[in-house]
Amino acid sequence: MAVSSVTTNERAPLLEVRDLVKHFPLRRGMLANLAGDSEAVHAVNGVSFSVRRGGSIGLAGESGCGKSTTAKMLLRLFEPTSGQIIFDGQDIVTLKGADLKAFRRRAQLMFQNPYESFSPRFTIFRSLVEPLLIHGVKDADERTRRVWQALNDVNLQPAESFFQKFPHQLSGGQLQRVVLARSLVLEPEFLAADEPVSMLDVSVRAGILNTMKEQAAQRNLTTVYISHDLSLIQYLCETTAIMYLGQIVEMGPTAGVINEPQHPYTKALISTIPIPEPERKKTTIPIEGGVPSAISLPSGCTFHPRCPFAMDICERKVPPPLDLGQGRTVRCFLYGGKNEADEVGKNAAAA
Amino acid sequence: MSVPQPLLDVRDLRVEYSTRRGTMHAVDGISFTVEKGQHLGLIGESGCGKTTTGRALLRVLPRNGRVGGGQMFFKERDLVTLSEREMRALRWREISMVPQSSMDTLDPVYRVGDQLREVLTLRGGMNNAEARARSAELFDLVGLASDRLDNYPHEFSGGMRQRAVIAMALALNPDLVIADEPVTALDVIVQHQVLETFRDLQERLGISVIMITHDISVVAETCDEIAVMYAGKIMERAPVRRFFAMPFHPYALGLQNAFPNLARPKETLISIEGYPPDLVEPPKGCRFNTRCPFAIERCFVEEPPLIEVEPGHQAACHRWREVEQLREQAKEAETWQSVA
Ligand SMILES: Nc1ncnc2c1ncn2[C@@H]1O[C@H](COP(=O)(O)OP(=O)(O)OP(=O)(O)O)[C@@H](O)[C@H]1O
Ligand SMILES: Nc1ncnc2c1ncn2[C@@H]1O[C@H](COP(=O)(O)OP(=O)(O)OP(=O)(O)O)[C@@H](O)[C@H]1O
Ligand code: SF4
Ligand code: SF4
Ligand SMILES: [Mg+2]
Ligand SMILES: [Mg+2]
Repeated sequence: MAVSSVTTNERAPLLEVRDLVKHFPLRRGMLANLAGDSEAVHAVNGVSFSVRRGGSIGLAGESGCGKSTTAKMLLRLFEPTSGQIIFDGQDIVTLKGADLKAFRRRAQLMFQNPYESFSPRFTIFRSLVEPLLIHGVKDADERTRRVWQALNDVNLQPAESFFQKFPHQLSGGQLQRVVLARSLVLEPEFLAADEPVSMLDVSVRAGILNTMKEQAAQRNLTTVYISHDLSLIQYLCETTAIMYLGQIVEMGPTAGVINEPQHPYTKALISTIPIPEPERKKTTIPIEGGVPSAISLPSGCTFHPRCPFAMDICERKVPPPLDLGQGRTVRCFLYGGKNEADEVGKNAAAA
Repeated sequence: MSVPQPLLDVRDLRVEYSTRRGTMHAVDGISFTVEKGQHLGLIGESGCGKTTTGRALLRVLPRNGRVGGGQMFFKERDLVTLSEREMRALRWREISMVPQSSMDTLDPVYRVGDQLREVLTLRGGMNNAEARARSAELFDLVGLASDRLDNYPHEFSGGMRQRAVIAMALALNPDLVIADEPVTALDVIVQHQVLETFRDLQERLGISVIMITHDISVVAETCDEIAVMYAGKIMERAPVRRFFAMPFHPYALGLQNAFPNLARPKETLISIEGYPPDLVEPPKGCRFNTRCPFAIERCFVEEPPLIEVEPGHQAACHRWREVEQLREQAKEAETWQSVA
């Protein structure tokens, strides 16, 4: 059921992720294996979302909640343990050979650290022209034109003055612009950016965020932004998904999620973000302890050991994603779903 | 009777590093004070000299670094002229430090409690029983359960390790703690817990803190005073509330545009394009002149002194008298693009 990429239904999602799971097996001794002990890091535990063509979603959450692992699966850098990733009508999880190469041209990942993204011995031109060579752009003038265009688009002007520079001759902000240019040089339709500005000083972050926003709009790019910093996601994304221990616990239009969070974890997270307004009196929702290990996940709602509202059921049943209307979903029994869970429970017991 | 002196009074402090390219003026004539119980936020972008300032105060500079001038009066003694022996007696007991990325500095092979006890016995001269009691007290103070004293560092989360290091800094009841980016590597929820610990210390023990950070939101939430550093200089110093309400220095005006605010999202964030000057050969005039949209001729020849712009509030800018107009212009993205 491969749908051709010429169908450009604006409403249809370009990317749809269904029940994505990634477990990293822990390599233990032989004895453990013999005993059938299959411990694993449960990095991603059933993530589902979709993004329309030209849309943007932000994945936020604390360190280790599975943001980067999710992004890497979207780009086929990690094989999912299970689940589907439908890109323009095609499940990319099973792509191979030429089809996979074609996908790689349409989808790009922008990494966090600009200094590690480039070989220090290559000129900027060489680093940017390489993807074009790999993807068979044969005409040299065409390659130069596209490198020039990409640099120009990310506001490195005059673009040709950067061709022969080496990474160490650029500031962190300029280098991060080159990272962006490199992910745009193949004119992709989809871009995932993992902590795109976290290495940069705040004074220069805004410039690159603005450029990313402009380019995404101009090219009708579909984007997934990953950041632990919700203010960045607030600035860039129409949809926000909050992750906790490898699951999306709340999702919806960004303003709604940030201004009126529903899930207890989202509420706690947002209430603790410092605000540059000393006059403002904040009420924070304190939660205890740290994030539990992703090796032995808590039962039921994985947030229950820290949740100030935890009920009996939370320990026993996994809250299903509930539709709150207006595009919002939440996984929490405070908003219902107990009956559904009972059904699931009964069915499981019957089976 | 003499006027009460501030706990710390730094005057025209200079710190230099010898490098292959020449002398680097990492801290170039800064002055500030810290009162008893006050929390001073020292902010500025990477490389502006924050850590250098903190290390100079304790005289624990790297080998190629030295105090090149100025005075650091702490309880009316000039730390610059104290002997190394006197300094040793003062470290931990009167001034202590939570070093940058310190949660990774705990020794992985020793129990956290043993590392804490070592400070108490070797530096504080306590016997083992005293040290054990005090350790439990300190863990309690920073919000750690005392039954975790026997854990190894790897059994702690990042936030717990950070709190253990803070407990160490507090071990011998110092008057002043220099906390260098104590929450930078932490997630917001844990960051909040650690910052609460600092606020608590101020309320309960009246400890003074120099909080080094690049995050003005952290300063807004935890400090009384702020000092903004840029390229080895203090550009603005003010009570925190005043700084956020009425900033004077163009760099501060730029920072406020560049910082996102979750509670009040901005339509557009604006960068201060460019980068700080080379401190081996600092530019003539104002150090911010290469990135400042308001620079005039004078800014390239004459260095602006840090002067009082309103009571208790100082800024170093030739055009401070025109600040109302500059504040308006600073809100426009075009203003800042004109420099790049
Ligand atoms: N290659 C790997 N092998 C084993 N475990 C891994 C691997 N990559 C990630 N993990 C684990 O998977 C979980 C999720 O990691 P991930 O890097 O996706 O988190 P993240 O949300 O991106 O965190 P951060 O904000 O720190 O970047 C963590 O527990 C991590 O230790
Ligand atoms: N041992 C050293 N030798 C030479 N130069 C040094 C040394 N230590 C620091 N510097 C330089 O001195 C300047 C100030 O460094 P410092 O570490 O004080 O900055 P900072 O404000 O703490 O920055 P950050 O926010 O990155 O921690 C920088 O330009 C730095 O490169
Ligand atoms: S399901 Fe229960 S434990 Fe989980 S967030 Fe909701 S109330 Fe808390
Ligand atoms: S002195 Fe001149 S260059 Fe420096 S901040 Fe003021 S206006 Fe800008
Ligand atoms: Mg990550
Ligand atoms: Mg530092």
